[in-house]
Amino acid sequence: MTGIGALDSFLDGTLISVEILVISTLAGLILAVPIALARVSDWTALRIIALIWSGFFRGTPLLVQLFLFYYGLAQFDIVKDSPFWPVLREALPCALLTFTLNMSAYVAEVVRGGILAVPRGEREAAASLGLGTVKTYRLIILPRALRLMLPALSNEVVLQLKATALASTVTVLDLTGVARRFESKDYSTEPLFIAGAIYIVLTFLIARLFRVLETRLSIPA
Amino acid sequence: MRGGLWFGLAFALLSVASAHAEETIRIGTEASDAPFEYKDSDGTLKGIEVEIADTLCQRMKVKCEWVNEDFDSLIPALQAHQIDTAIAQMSVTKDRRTAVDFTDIVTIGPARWVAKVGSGITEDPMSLKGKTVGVQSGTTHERYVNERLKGIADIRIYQTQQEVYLDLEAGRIDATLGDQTLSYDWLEKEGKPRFDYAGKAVDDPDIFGEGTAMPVRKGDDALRLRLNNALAEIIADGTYDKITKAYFPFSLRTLDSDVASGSAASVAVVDLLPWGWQLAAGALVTLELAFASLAVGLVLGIAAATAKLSPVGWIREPVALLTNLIRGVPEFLILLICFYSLSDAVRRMTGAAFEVNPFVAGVFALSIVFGAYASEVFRGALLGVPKGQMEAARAFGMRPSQIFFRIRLPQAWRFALPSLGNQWQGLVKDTSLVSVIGLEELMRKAEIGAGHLPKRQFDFYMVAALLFLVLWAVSTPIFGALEKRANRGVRRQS
Repeated sequence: MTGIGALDSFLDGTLISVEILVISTLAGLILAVPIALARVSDWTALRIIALIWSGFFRGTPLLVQLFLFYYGLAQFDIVKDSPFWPVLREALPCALLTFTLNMSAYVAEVVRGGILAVPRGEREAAASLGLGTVKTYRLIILPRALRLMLPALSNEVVLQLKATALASTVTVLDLTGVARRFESKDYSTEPLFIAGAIYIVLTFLIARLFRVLETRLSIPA
Repeated sequence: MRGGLWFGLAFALLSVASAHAEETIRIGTEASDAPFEYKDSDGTLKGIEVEIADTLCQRMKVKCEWVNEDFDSLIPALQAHQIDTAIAQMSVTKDRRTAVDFTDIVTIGPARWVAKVGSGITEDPMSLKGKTVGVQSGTTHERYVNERLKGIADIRIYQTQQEVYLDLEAGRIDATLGDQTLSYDWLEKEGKPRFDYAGKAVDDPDIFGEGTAMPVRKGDDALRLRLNNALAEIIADGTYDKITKAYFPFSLRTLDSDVASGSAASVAVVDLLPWGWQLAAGALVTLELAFASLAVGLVLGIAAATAKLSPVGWIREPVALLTNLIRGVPEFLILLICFYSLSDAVRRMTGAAFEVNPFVAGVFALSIVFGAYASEVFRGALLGVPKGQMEAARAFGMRPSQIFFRIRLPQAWRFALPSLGNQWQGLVKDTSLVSVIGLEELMRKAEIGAGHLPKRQFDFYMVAALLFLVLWAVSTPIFGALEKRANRGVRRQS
């Protein structure tokens, strides 16, 4: 493992890991809002569906989910004949899909916590101003919940970064994938340690980013 | 030995120091290459090379122990003294010769492309222009595509050859380069009539070497010569041919590249029940792994928490730094690092022979991850015990250790339990990662099953997922009961 080639590979791998992290986090966050709303909904059927969703994705290992989507779905001809197949058959989009669905279940719990933490008084104030349910959520509750849930969200993002390492098990050459390629070529564990160090740096950067966000979004007392 | 592993720590340590009393040769293989080495539905290791190696052991009058792991970890495992030799269709190449020594040639199996019938792919690299090809990691085929097809074809690397076949069937790749002999078996069982060999055998001795052989550690001439003698013996007396002829219509000792595969085999009725038992056995291993890691992890977590609360700076700071670093690295990477470098490091430190099997590496990795997170939980919980109680204990004349174990820890336990419940759920799920280094827990069993019955892949992974859900669902009331018990005698503050 020497020279510019190795450096390039590690850089590429890091970029892929970050790409998976950013896309799956943003998409997961968007998907999480309706799931969280379903979780706190008054409609029982909706609550149960959201509960099953969150139970399945949080209660089973990500590795099993990844293999279920990547190898398992190919069992069904209906999937193979569908217009989604050209996307699903590629390793990276398939991994992205799995990571997004998985993330949505975890973030939905965080969003739910955020919604429940919005003080009752603000809800009542919105009602007394004559705001409807949709407006109350859009203007008052969700923005407040977003600020309240930032610390918990930062934890989830760090955990998600570490979870992306599993993409290497379905042929994606992310940071761990690159390290494993070098490891099996040179019979040396050094590349694994290098990857570990890069993950630590990324973790640190995520923590910093969220601290900046928290200060920016803090509500003046 | 496995049956007793329920008690975690003690047994995990015992299995590390596995007995060396009688002469045992540990043979590594990757049991996903039927018909050379594979596991059938009741979990027994079978195959041509398994039979050959077992026969060699008989002739050498030694006991052989099989170790099943991923192909690309065989040479690292050999160097780490986890195994003494390996038999897994490993081609003798210049690259590998720098790392290990080889016995005489065991089989000759040329490399040959497999693709959809009528794909137009041949042994000529240019016929693969713009195609997507898949090969197994760590093989000579990987080297071939990397060196000869770079910029020509899109290359995918897989952990096992079974996964390559799955993706060939799914249409994710156009062709795979593999041993002609290995592909023969897959074509007979699954591939026909949609898939077949594409072109003739690929002739590239620089990369593919002279044939396959068994690697031994560099300088281990004693074992190498004994294996060579036994091999010569079984070739001379016809035992070798008797074993291979039962599987292939062609010889494994000559380069015969014009083998066309025979007629498609009849489809056997699949009995799913044995696979169910296999998955159940895997779930049991998952539980053993989880409990062993929990036991070690709790001890580590409490120790690290106490260290982090220590008034002594040089104890407190390094432990705090270490637990923070561990929490910043993917669990999967920690596991890989433990597996590949643990035995190496310990051997260098102590000079004694030390072997790590996937179970022990798994317990090690999972428990340090668990310990790192639990140390934060326990730190908070230990701080939550009111100071007055410790002062009262001291006033009663209790020793510091008595205060810790009788007053402080039992109460901290009560505060820590809810978080530990979450940690435990994470731990159970993380056990699935150990499948990647070859431990046959639930996930690995599902993979083996899916490899055997590609038409039921989804079912295997879904059953594995549901079994994990059961473990998750069962844990919740258990922790509820534990919390109730820990809180007995505590009056609810109103």
